[in-house]
Amino acid sequence: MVPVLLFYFFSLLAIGGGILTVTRRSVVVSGVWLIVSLLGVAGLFLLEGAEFLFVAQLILYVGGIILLFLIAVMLVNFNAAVYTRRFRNGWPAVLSICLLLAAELLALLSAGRFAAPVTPAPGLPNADAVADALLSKYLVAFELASVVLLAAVVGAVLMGQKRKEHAS
Amino acid sequence: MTAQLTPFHFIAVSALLLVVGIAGVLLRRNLIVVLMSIELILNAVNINLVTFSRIHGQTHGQVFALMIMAVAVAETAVGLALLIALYRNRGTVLADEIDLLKW
Amino acid sequence: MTGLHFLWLVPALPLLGAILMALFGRALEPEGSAPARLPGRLCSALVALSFVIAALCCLEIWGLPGHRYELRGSPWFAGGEWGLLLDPLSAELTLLVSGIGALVHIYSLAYMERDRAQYRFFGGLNFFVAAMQILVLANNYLLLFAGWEGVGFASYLLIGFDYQRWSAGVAGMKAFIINRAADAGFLLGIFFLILKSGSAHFGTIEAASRHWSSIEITLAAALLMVGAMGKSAQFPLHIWLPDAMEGPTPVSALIHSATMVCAGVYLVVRSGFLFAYAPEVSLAVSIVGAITALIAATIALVENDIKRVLAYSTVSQIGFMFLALGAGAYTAALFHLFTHAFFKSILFLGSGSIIHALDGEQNLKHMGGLRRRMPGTFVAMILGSLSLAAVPGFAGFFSKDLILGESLGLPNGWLFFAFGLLTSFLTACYAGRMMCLAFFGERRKGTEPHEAPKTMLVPMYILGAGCVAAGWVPSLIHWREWPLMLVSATVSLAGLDIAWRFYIATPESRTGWDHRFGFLIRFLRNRWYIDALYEESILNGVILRSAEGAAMVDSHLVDAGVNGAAMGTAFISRILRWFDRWVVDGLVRFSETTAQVSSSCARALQSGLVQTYALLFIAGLLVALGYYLK
Repeated sequence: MVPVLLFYFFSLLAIGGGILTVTRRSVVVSGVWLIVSLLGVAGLFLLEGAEFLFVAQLILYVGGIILLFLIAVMLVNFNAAVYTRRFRNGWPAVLSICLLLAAELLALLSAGRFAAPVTPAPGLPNADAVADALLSKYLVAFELASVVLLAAVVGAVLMGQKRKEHAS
Repeated sequence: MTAQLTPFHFIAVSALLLVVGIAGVLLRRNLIVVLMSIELILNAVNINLVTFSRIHGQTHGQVFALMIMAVAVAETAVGLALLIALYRNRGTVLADEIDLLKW
Repeated sequence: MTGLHFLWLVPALPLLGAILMALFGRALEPEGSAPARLPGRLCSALVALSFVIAALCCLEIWGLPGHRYELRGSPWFAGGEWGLLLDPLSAELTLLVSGIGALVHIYSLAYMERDRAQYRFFGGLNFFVAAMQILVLANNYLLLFAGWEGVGFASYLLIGFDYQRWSAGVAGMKAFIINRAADAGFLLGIFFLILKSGSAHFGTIEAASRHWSSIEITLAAALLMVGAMGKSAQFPLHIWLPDAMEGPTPVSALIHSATMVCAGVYLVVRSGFLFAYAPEVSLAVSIVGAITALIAATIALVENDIKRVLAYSTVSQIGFMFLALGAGAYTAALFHLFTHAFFKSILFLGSGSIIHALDGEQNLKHMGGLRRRMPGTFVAMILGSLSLAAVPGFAGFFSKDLILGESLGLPNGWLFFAFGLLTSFLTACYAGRMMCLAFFGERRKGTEPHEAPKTMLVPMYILGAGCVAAGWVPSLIHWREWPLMLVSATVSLAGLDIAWRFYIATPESRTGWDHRFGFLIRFLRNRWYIDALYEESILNGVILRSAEGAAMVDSHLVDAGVNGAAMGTAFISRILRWFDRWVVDGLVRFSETTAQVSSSCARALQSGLVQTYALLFIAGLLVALGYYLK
């Protein structure tokens, strides 16, 4: 009973937050609602028994990415954006396409074999299991991920630089 | 309302979140919000992966989701840096005013 | 080989002259140069030559049985043929035509010497002579009619010779149209004759007519009479002759006094076998003649234009001839025709000499005292007018006297006799008046005249001799009773005396006339209002209405047709324009729109906006997933 309620609560946060993110006029408000949505997603992770991802989500997304967003927002002149149109031309058509897509997906997925509830097999606690997999089977991926992050850092720094004047 | 949580619930949430994110990518003019929507999409994918991992009773999906999170971070950082550079060059962050890809 | 084989040359030579003038005449007279001499000389020579040949032929037939020669030629059409007939009747006329024709040609050499269009004049004159010869020498009605029309046409050409003058052109048309109207009757008569006898030949018809009923003969004769009246200018178809004086004087001399106007007389004589058996028609001919003679004489009395006096005189004298014809006195009529040809042509040529000398002055009231200045002309004209007035000793006396005698033979003959006598008196009056006004008294106004050149005088002298001599020869054959001669002589001399008295001796006795006889004078001056009547009824009534009708037809029918065609074309073009705009242009616009739409669709794909591309991804995903939906 309680998990079901929690599920609905967190999914409301996730989806509702997502919708609000997309529709707000002010970019900062969008960012705040993104936080809400990510928190909802985190809750969903928790419900599914992925405690490690729950924590990782909180730290990485909410703590890191949102921060980045808000800093970037402040670097860009966001005031002007408040007074212009929010959505692109022809948004009803696009919206209807998206709704169609939603319906299609739900229809397709409901035909799949996802109806049976799942009870997780007892075993190691989640964090341990993830750590085991990460450091044995997916070690290369783990390392590559850090390389990617490095590359991203370098690239971001490079692109953030002010352009020097050309000589000629 | 069912008494039991089935994987379909989570998958449905994931699908809906995905669509919300797609809508945001396609509809908003402000590129920052577009990037936020991309985050939403990635999160939806993560929910999916975790659900599948739970179905199979293994952690592979969760590891995959972790990788995605890492890539998402990298992508956000680079994307925002690009955005700021673009802002410096073009003076705007509105998507329909940046159409250099025409030629 | 007799000379008669050359008879066809008599009409052919002048015809050749006319053709040559028509084809080459223009080339002979380029602009700016002096008038050419060749047309006149050539044409005169041709007519003179044809006279010689005609004379020879006439001498020939005297030796032939019946004094006639006929050349039956190849058939023409509808019973006519290309044949010639030379008997005493046609002999008299052919000699008259070619003889006087030659004299008038020679006269014209001097009279027309300053005119620019020599070839047109002499060509027309030659053509006239040729047509008249065809008329008199034809042996059938159709060929006669061909000549008849030919002289009508030549008359039209020559009356309107000075075509730049409006009045000349109108006069030419008037002559031709009235002739044509009369010819309608003539043609009907010819058709009737051909219908009844199967041929147009004189002899054939005469033989056939013996078996016809009197009604048929009367009808034929009446129709022929209508034609004769038109050509010979008898009342009421006389109005064209005075206006015909618009033509040059030699034309008046030849055509309208001596020859063409006698064609009607010739026709009646030639058709005598009909008229002899149609007493009502003959009587009508006499009545018409008598009336015409009197009316014309009264008008001539008040005319001031010398040529108009002579024109009305001609009408009057031909009336005399018709009077004789109606009485069956064909010999008398022909005799008068013969003498009239001489004295009338000499009078016209003389008047031409006066006009030529006075630089175009034709008004009698402006002349006077020309006797001293132009003695030759004076002599010629004295001879002519004394003959006209029928003074004893002159040709006109004998011929008129004969007619007056024969007129008593008609039913109610005394009435005709009285008409004739009265007309003779008036004739003498106006002849005397003309001579007094022109030659006697003091010079009234204008330039100093000079005598005419030899070329003009010699023909006049020749004719003058004829005026005297022509009378004696036939008269010695037929002598008349002396009481009649006495009466007519008295009348003529009385007329001349009155003229002398009123115009020369005591002109002041005429002063009150305008007051007392004003109405009568006005009536006569307006030609008995006959012309006015014609103008009112036919011209204004019929012709104007028909002209208006034609104009209406033109504007409503013809123009309507044109407008209708234009509107039809406009309508069709409107349809085509619709077609062009909607179908053709529609196709073009369709392809344009298709290209535009497809290109804008294609362009949309390349908008450069990332979100558009993303949208396309999602749309593709949608489609792809749709595949799995089923």
